[in-house]
Order: sequence, then structure tokens, then C-alpha cells
Amino acid sequence: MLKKIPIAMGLALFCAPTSLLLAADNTDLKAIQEQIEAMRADYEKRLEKMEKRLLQAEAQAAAAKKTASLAQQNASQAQVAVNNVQTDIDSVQEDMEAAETAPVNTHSKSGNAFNPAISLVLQGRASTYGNNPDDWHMPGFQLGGESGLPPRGLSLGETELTFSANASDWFYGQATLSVSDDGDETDVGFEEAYIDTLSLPYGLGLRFGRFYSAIAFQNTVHTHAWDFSDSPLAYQAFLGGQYSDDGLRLSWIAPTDTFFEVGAEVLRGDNYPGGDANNNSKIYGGAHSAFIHLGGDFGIDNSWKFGLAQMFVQPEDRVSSHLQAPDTSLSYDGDSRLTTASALYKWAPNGNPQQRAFTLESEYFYRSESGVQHFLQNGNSASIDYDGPQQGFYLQGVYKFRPEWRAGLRYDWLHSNNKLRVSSNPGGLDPHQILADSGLENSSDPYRLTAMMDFSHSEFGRFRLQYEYDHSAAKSDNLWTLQYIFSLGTHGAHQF
Amino acid sequence: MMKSLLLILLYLGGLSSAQAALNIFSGEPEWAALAKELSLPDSNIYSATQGLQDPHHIQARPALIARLRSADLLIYSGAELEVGWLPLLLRRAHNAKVQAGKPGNLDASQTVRLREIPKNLDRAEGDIHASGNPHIQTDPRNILRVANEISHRLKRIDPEHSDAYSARLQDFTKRWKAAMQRWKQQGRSLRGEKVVVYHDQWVYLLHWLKMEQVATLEPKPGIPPTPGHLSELKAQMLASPARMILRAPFMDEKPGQWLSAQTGIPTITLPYTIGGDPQANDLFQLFDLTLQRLTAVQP
Repeated sequence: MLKKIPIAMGLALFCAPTSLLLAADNTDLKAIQEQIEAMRADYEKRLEKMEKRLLQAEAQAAAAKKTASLAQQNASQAQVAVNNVQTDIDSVQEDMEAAETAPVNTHSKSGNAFNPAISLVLQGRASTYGNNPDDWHMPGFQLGGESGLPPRGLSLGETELTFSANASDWFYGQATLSVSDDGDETDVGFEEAYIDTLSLPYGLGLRFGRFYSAIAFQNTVHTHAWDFSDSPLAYQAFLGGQYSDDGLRLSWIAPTDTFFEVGAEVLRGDNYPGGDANNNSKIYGGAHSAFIHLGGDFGIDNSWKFGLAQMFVQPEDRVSSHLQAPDTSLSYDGDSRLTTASALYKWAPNGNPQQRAFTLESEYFYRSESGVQHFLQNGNSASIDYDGPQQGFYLQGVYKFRPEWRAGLRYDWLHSNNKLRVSSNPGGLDPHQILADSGLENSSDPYRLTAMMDFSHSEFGRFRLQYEYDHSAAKSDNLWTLQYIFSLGTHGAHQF
Repeated sequence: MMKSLLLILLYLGGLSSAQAALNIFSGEPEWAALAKELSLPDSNIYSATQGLQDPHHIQARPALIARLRSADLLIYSGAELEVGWLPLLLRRAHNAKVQAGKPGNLDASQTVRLREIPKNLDRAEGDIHASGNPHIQTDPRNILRVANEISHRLKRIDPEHSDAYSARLQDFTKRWKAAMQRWKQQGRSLRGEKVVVYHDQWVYLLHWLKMEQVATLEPKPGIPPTPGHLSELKAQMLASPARMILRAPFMDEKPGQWLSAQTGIPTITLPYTIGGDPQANDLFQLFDLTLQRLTAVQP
């Protein structure tokens, strides 16, 4: 159908001129003209219609456009709304997360909240050896303080009770009570009771009260933290086991990356190696000491500390605590100067001493004493001029090969070179016997070899087995010790 | 002798006053890294422990005393994590600025909500922390909280550079929040997964990722794994397997390896802190790597 229309129109146009030429008749022409007119009119009509429709379409398009932009506007408004909601959700979520991580105040309402930290150390041991502890004596050394052998058999040893707390932002206080049985009596005493300053300027620090002197490294370590069940022979010979005294210590730490500390102590001088009497009344103290400490790390595995110290004391009536001769006493008046050098090295892989660690420690002691020893035997007295250069050292290594297990070896050695002369002997005692009974004559150098192994189930409990070949007394001896150490309550940090 | 000593002292004193930049002493490497993000570039930052060290069990070494002596700001996790060494360092260091209560003493655990606060304090429960679990840095939301506090303290200690610290905090917060969005997306798949840990040190991480801790290799906190406890765990795991066993780099490898071999549950070592892995050099890398390791375990 559609194809036919253009063909018909073409025919009509083609036929029109031929018919014009052929027809002479006017009416025919007129009819043709009318036909053309009609066609034109028809075309125009249709054109008009189309124009109209176009206009309509255009109007519609414009209207659509309008609607579209409106919709767009609506959409973006909706987007804004969505965004707002999202921010709200985010902030709620943030609030929730903040609430999840926010600190919760858990204030203790207890009146005990400010009580000092309390730690109780329980110790006990079983020891067996041949020598009689009451007869024990180290030849060449006038002993004092708490030096001596541990009790034989089963014993409780020393129980320590420590209290500590900050007293204010300026001061920290700590006291350690020691309770031990001594025969039928119970000894209760303060091992330490001191105040430390916290806020002095320029790296200065002051400690006052009773404390362990910084004369040597192990001297400041409480017995429960020792690596062996007893102190080195040098401590027994020169410090009465462990030297604590009343007084004050001022020390200064340099603002350097390598640890450098210097300090001085003024102490009462009442305890061995100090002696009684005169020292008590001195306001500036009877024993004076000074020390220098250096320390640092080599990489992450190794750390070290080195110390030098000297103490000077003038004991009066310092009574010897261990003499073999019966009914004999010995007391010393004179000078005593002790010089020590200490070195400590620690190794721990990756700086984790909890897993595996090795500690090597050595301290050297040199003491010179010069004065008079007052000898008293069965009511007869004598005086001995005494000039005593003495020295000693120990070297110990402790290896922690598993988190629970440690093994250690220690070697102790002492040497005396005392010069003795009986200067007065009104009782007419045998001078040779006096010197022999004084216990100060030089003999073969005391030494001792110690091996130990200990097991710690946690850091709050330890069992130790220790063997010693002891050649410190006149008769050599074998010592076996089984020991336990338990720490209850808050237990503070141990020093390096 | 005395004169030369005096000269040395004066020299050392001069050294300390010449160093105007802040000295920051951090107990753990994560706070050192955070301090680095928030302080000025010239500050000296020292960390007492490194990534492979167990912060519970280091010693109060002389080197640490020397460093704390000159510190202007001390940052530590708190909650008794450092109870074995920090109290002693504080007393020995003779430094008033970093004592408790001073602006220079920042206990990070005070700024966040601590979890696992024990109801019953008894050493029979092992080496527990009375204040709660101190391993707070494993949740990035906690990092942001500590960051705010560090910045606040820096401004108090060094008010001159207050604006700079504000800008540093703003910049860090922006980057951290963006990273947190990313980690959250990555961690979606881990929701509800069960894990076995060596020591209770992932509580905050697991809580953040909504994962579930079903057992610890240590029978009690701080008590090394025992054969008896491990065989109990083996039975438990065979009955109801966990997705993975988590370990910090400084913890003993063997117990976890044994349990892995017995049960087929993989043991993965997370960096735990900065330097816990060669790829964890800053806080962003720390969490990137943590999530990467966690999500790498296929069910």
C-alpha cells in the first residue's frame, strides 16, 4: 500500500504536462488547476497539522525537562538526607566504640586503699655439714655481724616482711622487718627502714634511715634475691655477712645515656665492720663511704655494671664473734678501710631474661686495718698490735637454661697478710698462744667452691639445692643445703 | 682531683641544659611509635623494651635508669605490666618530672577501658594484674585514646609548641580513622571466629574484631604451659576446633607448635607491637600486618 502512493504521485506528475499539451480544452485545464489547488490545500493542511504536533511535542519535552530537573533536585535532596543519616549512624557508632574503650572509674571505697604494699618472704632450709657451727672460724679474719654457717638440720631461717609506699610526691618509704629464731629467742629487727626522696632537682637523690650500704653490689640485695643460699666468703669476712646501718646517702646520677652515678654515705658505724662505743655519739656518723657506679647495654642482649667503693670506719671495741679458744674474747680499736671493685654482666637473648639468661658477677675486696686488738682470756688481758691488709674476691655465674630452672657456680677466695705483735702482756700469757688464740694468724687462704641448682614454679616461689666444698675454716667441709623461698603479696621490683 | 671532678660535673650539667628538645621515655615500643607521630621531629624518643622483649619481665638495668634520669615525659602501658621494673626505675632515676602525678608521667591504661579486671585476687590464679589486662595496644581505638592523652601532655610540658602538637594530633587522627575503616572492612570475615592464645594478651584485639578466645596455652597467667594442660587442650580442640592459635613473638614457640601438630590448627605469630616483626615498623604497619596474618588463615 505504502509503496503504491509514491508511484501514483509520480505518474500524476508525469502525466500532467502531456495532458496540458494534448488538451486544448480550457475546462480540462481548469479541472487540473483545481486538482492542484486541492492537493496544495491538502498538503498545507497536513503541514499545519504536523507543525501543531511538533509544537505539542516541544511543549511536552519542555514539560518533561522541567519534571526531570525537579526529580534531580529531589534526588540530591534525598542524598543529603541519606548522608545526614549516615553521619548520625557514624557518630552513634563512634560513641558506642568510644564507650567501649572509655575508662571506667573503679574507685576503691575501702579505707585500706592507701595502705602500704606488703610483701612477705618465707624461707626455710635443711642443711647438713661436718663442722660444728659454734666452733667455726675463718683463720686470719676477725669476724663479726651475722657471719657464720647456717644452722644445721631443718630451720626456718629469716622471714622478711616488707612495707612500702609513697609518702607524698616527694618521698617514698620502705621498711623490711626480719624475723628469725636465734636459739630460744626470736630476733625481730629492721633490716632496712628508710625514706627516699623522689623529687630533688639535678638528678640528686637522698636516702635516710636504715639501709644496706652501697659498699658492694650484693650488699644491697635482700637475702631472698641472692643467687646462692649464703653470702660470699668476702661478705662474711669484710661485712659481717651483709652491712646495713643507720644514716643517709646522697647520690647523683649524670644526665648521660651511659649510667653514671656517684654517691656518698654517712652511717652510724655501729655494725661490723664498725664497732660500738664512740661511733654512737658522732653526729656526722662513724662510717663514711663513697661510691661510683657505671653501667650500660651492649646491644639488646648484653648489659653491664661496674662499681668502685670505699668505706672508712674507726671501730672501737669491735668484738670478734667467732673464736675457737674457750673463755676468750677479742675486741678491736683502730682504723678500718675497705675498698671494693664490683663487676656485673648479664646476658639474655633478645633481652628476655625470663626465658634464658646468664649472669656473671665478681667482686674484689681489699681491707686494711691498723690498730690494737684487746685480748682477754680467763681474766688475763693482753694487747696485740695489729696491721691487717686482707683481700678477697668471688666469681659467680648463674645460667637460666629454662624458664623454671637455673644452675650456678661460685668460687670464693680470701687472703690475709696480718702483722701481729704482742705489745703488752701484763697477765704473762704465752705470746705465741695469745696470737694463736686470737685467730688472726695467717694461715692457708680460705676458699670455697659452690654449685647450686634451683627451680621456680612461678616468680613467687623457688626451691634450691646447693653443694659447697668449703675450705674456709681450719677443717675443710662439705655442705649440702636444700632451701625454699616464697614471696607472698605484692612483690616489688628487684634491682639489677 | 676535686677540681677536675667539678669540671666534669659542670660539663655534664651543660650537656643536659643544651638539649632543648624533649626527651621521651616509653616503656613499650608502641607508645614510642605513637610519640613519634605526635611529638616534634627533633624529640629524642627511647623505648625501654623492644618488639621481641616481654615487657613483663625485663630488669631495671642501669641503662634504663640513665635514660629515665633525663626524660621529660614517661609513657607506659600501666595496669601493673611494668610492676617488675618501672617502680624501681622511677625511684632510682632521681627525676622529679616523671614521678606519679606529674604531667610527665603518663599511664596509658588510665585513658582506656580495661578488660578482665579480676574479681578475685589470688596468686593461685597465676600472675594476674589487679587493675585488669594491660595489653591495651592491640585495639586501634585505644591507640587513638592514648594519642589524645599524649598530645595533651606534650602541650602541658612544652606549651610553646602547642599549635604544632595540635596539628600533629589532627593529622594523625585523620590518617588513623581512615586506616581503622580499612581494618574494620578487612576484619569482617573474622567475626565470631574462635582462637586459642598463648598468654592473655590479645583480649583487646579479639574484642575489637569480635573474635572469641576459647583457651590459653598457659594454665594460669605467667605459668608456662604444662604437658597435662596441653593434652587437655588437645582433647578440647579435637572436640571443638578453634580457627587458629595466636602467639606473640617473645613467647615460647614449642607448646603452640605441638598443639598445631596434634590438631591441625595453625599457629600464627602476630607482631604484638612495633618491631615484633621486621615488617611492623610503625603503628599502621603493625595493624596492617596483624589483619593480614589473621585473614590469611583459611577456614
